[in-house]
Amino acid sequence: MAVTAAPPTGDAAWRRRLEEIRGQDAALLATITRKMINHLCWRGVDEAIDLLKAFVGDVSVAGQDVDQNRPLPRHIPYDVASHTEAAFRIAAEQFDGEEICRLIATWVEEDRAADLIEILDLAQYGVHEIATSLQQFAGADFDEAALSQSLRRGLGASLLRRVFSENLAFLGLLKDRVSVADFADLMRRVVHTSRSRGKLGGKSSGLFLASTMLRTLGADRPELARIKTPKTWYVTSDGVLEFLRHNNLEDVHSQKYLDIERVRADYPHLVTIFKNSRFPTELVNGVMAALDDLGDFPLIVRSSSLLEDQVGAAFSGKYKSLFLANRGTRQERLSALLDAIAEVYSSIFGPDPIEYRAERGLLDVHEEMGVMIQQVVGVQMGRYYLPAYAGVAFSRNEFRWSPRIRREDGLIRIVPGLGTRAVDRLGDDYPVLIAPGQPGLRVNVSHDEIIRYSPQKADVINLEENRFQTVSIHELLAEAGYRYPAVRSIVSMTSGGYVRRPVGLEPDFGEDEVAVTFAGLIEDGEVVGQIAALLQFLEQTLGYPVDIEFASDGKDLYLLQCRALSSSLAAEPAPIPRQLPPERTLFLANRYVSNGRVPDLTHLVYVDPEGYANLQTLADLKDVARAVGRLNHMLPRRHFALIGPGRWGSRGDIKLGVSVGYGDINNTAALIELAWRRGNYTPEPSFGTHFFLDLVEADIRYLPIYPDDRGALFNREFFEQSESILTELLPEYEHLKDVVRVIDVRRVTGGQVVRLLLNADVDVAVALLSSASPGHGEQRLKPFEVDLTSDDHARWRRLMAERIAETVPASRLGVKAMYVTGSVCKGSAGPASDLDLLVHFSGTERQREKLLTWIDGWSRALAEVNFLRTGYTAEQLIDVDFVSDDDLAHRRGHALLIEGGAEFALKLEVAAR
Amino acid sequence: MSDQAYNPFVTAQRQFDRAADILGLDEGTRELLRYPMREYSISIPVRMDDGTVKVFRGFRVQHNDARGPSKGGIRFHPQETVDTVRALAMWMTWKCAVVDIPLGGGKGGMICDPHHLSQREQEGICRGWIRQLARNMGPDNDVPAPDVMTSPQHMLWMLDEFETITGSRQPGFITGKPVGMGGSLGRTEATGYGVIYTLREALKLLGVDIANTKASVQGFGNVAQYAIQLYTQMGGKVTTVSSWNHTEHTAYCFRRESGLTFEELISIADRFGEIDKEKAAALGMEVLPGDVWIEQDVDVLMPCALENQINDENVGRIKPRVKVIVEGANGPTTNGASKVIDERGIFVVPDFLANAGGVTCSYFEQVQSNTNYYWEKEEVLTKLDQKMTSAFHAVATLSKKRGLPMRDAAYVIAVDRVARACRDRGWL
Repeated sequence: MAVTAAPPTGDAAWRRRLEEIRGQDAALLATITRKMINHLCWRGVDEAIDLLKAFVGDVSVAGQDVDQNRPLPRHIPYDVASHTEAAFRIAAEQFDGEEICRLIATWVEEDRAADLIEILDLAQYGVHEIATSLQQFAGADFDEAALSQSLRRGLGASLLRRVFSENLAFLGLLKDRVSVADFADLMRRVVHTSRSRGKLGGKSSGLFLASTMLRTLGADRPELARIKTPKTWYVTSDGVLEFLRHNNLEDVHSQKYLDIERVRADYPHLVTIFKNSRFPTELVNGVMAALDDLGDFPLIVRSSSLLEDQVGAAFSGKYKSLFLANRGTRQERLSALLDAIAEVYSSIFGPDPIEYRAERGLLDVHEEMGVMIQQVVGVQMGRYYLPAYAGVAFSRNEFRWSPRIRREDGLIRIVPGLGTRAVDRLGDDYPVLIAPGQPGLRVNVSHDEIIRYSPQKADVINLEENRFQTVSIHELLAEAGYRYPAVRSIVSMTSGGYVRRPVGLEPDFGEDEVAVTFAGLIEDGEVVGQIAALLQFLEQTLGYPVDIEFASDGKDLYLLQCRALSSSLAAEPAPIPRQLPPERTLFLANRYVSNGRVPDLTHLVYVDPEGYANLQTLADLKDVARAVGRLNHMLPRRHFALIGPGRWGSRGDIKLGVSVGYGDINNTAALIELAWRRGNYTPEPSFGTHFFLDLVEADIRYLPIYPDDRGALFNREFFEQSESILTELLPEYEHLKDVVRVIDVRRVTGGQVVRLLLNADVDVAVALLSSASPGHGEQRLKPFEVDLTSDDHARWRRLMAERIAETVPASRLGVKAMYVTGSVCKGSAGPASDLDLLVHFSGTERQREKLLTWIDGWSRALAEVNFLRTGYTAEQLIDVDFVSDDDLAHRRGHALLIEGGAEFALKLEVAAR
Repeated sequence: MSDQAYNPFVTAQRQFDRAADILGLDEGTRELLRYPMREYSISIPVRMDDGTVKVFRGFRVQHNDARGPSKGGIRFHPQETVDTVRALAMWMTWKCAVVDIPLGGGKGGMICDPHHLSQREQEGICRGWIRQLARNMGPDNDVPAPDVMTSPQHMLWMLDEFETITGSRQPGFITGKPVGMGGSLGRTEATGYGVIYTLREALKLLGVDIANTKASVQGFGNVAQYAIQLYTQMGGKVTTVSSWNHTEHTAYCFRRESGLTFEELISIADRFGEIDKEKAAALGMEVLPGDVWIEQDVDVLMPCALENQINDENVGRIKPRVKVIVEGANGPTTNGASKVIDERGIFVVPDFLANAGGVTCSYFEQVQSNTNYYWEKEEVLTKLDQKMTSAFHAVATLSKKRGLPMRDAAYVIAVDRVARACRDRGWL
């Protein structure tokens, strides 16, 4: 800080500084002089206005006599030195010495920043130039604080845009909070080639956003300030392109357009090819530098793709992340790391992400993949390396196991060891669930439940064998004992018929019975409180619900990832039609609803509450459970729902609900509990607590219905009067035919299915009779085939487009042809999607206006219909574009869509009238 | 709720009526024993974690304490009804009487679901429960224990509250405490061992040497495990055992004609008693469908798992060789199957008697706590053996003398003992 470091002795200081500049850099002196004159002019100093005229020549000031449409003539300044004297003489009369010193300093820094701004704003410069330029600044005592706020903000925005994302919300949140120094520091850890133009990708952006927010806004909150992020290096997103080019593998880009089965078949070979390819030298050197800096900590190589950034959280988790033990010689470690990067690259072309993209019309979006190379948070325990605990956390809780838990209480899925076991649903093990807003309310409370649903395994990195491994947590604890960090906060003692926290000398590992409960973390409150504060902070500052990954080495909590909440675990809310056709609504529930949808239930198993309550013998009550268990294995898996009174799985008192075990219900798509007021009491639903974790892990929807509630509906007639096929399926349970009713929905409705839509945002769930999901290859749609209440948003939009084309007075309005394009054409339209129409038009301007007016009517009407269907509001639904004969002849503009064939523009039949 | 609905209290009264008919009890005695002697209904205000106050309701039913202090668990249940608690209290009276321990029957319940309560709130309920009932309970008149959804932790909170109110140490107030906090050794083994003590006596009565018998066991939980341990120690041979597979949601039977040992079974089972199929096969066991335990060519069947496991459908599959069925589980035999078994002359040790080792051990815990002197495990198990053996013979003798099935005899002897105590006290 060359200038402000000088002692502020008023006049002498700025004069000295000015002399220095005069001696060193004439151009800078001219710039400073001009800025001072401008500054004085803005302050309205008359003398300065005269000076400005002299400085730039004979031009009116303040735009007075300037012809608006003619460019101003440019004047080259001459004799700067004399103007400098004059300008600073005036300045000295207006400002004190300190102010002048400050102004000079600001302008000096701004002048230096100009180079950087140019590099950032011009597309011709790439990552390399940005990095170099940033290093120069960082190396040259650049005083950022001296810059004006607007310039700092502009610089921040430019840097963010070039390095991370052009997402406006992202820029808006961060542009005031980042500094050039932050980026100089960051860019030291970015691996790139000299011609790279890439970005760092979605995952990197998410983590950068969260950590910057913590560092700035969260700085004064100790519990947040203590949260760390692991040391990370980045490879720019176009590294993958360089890699492909280097190995002549560009043809894999078209892989995504192949038939999905072909993609699936080719994929293993593709991985092999990738792993046997070479990296460009620049990347190898960069990765080597990363490796040297990261040391011999185990590493995780994470994908950080552009689509993750654009499409958002819904897309994350589709690509690979790989763990590396990072042991061996430097060369071995390097080749293992490069191998991992190649494998992560190959996952762009994996069948699952491609299928996902195809389904959502994202195949044509340009995809690149950045890579994050992160130190794995953890400690070494013998031959294993692992975090004490890790997991994922959501700021909204979609899996409430008690009516007392509110959505905003959040949810933590936590496991011992690496967080991989918390991220995905596990078939054979359970994470511990905590609602950080109400940590006292546990999912499991009885001794047996706590032990049965406690994590049995842990994911670790085996340092000796250089691999990722799943081990028994009990063997690990017996082996590691007190070397396992924070172990007494993680385990509980389970002997003696109850579960308690270890005290004194306990536990004696290998001797005492223990279970992983995280009771210490929950009861001491520090870590859970920290995560709760983090979730709340991020949701508040970012303005949307978040989903984070975390890990702890037993001492510190690390934030590993942050994204908008919409992972596969927390299903998206299903749009609920506003106008429910009463004859097709089977029920509507409006309390404790989670998100999700079950599109096609073909069978409903209904245990009649009254019939069940009237059963006279214990044997009959138990038979109901047995019959349900049998049906569970006979009905189509995940296409039937169980609807019954009170508590499914009731153990203590069989009258409170059918006493099934999880094995009796594990194939259902939804478990629904009816809390019907009977006499003077309302049965209390169980919230699935008897097998809550099983339901969560198997993605079985749980829903309580309180039919007596205001606004709730339950179509008793349908459930009680529809034909039941129980005795066809299970003749031996004929005595229960009035209690257990099995409704074959297609049979009783002439081919319809039940669609279950759950929306936690509005706390409403409905079951609607609907036509079955459409198959592929259908052609012309008929109105009666289209269900306006269905959530197939593309289908009814297409029908409407066809109706528009049929009714448009084509010749009168100059319409030659009409096409439907965009998401409706692709079949990927969502509840808020536009209906994109393309009109081949050859009329006059007046005809065009009339046509637009005509379409506007449709557009407003359809927007209203869409609102009634989905609750999404918009003034207009149709987006119309035109294509002319001329366009078609020259193959330009939207003509290209038509040329692309039915995949891009589907021709509609225009009535020849 | 309709009148004709299943009501456990009505069922319990019907069972009693049957025994009363056999005994020819007079109307006054029936009236007394058909209903609880005392019932308490309480409200407990609890300050919740969010600062609000919620009021929880609960009950304590003392069915009959003519033979000694009432004894019975406390249940936490969201839809607890007083009729359920009444039925369970009555069953406790008979259960204590059949093994001839000087205790009466009681039961308690709280309407709450611990799933929706934090630990602190549950502690509030436990302490509140005791504050309401401390004057009506105690080591000398009513002794609670853990039950559905309550654990030793709840009992320790309750004990602490009781001792704070009375200003004294009274570990005999509650049973089911952890060892070292007033609990008794031998509790883990008690029920399973009790099953085998009665089996041993039954075989003696039939003139069969236990060392020459084979058995098939349904279940591999706590009761089955210790039953197998003691039975094999006595020289019996377990050829088949069934165990529930939690992953596949089905049961499997594991069989080896030359016999299975307790140690090898334990070594391949997890802590829930699930036997590992692969490991079992590796040890040379046959892995068979879960329902074949009943059709084994053995001398003894031990249903130690769930209710209604021997029913009309499978009772016919019991092999002629079977001499004794000893019911380790509660209610493993349906009424219909029970008749068939009696007709075939198979000797039954009914659940009520066979699995009374648990309540007997609770009594021992209370005795030890009251004297503040704790026995070695051997002493507990020796005394358990004596109690079970004499209880068995009393029932068997009555069965023989009156020509009653063992199940009826057990019930009748229990009701008779209670009725006699009431009469001796001059109540009737």
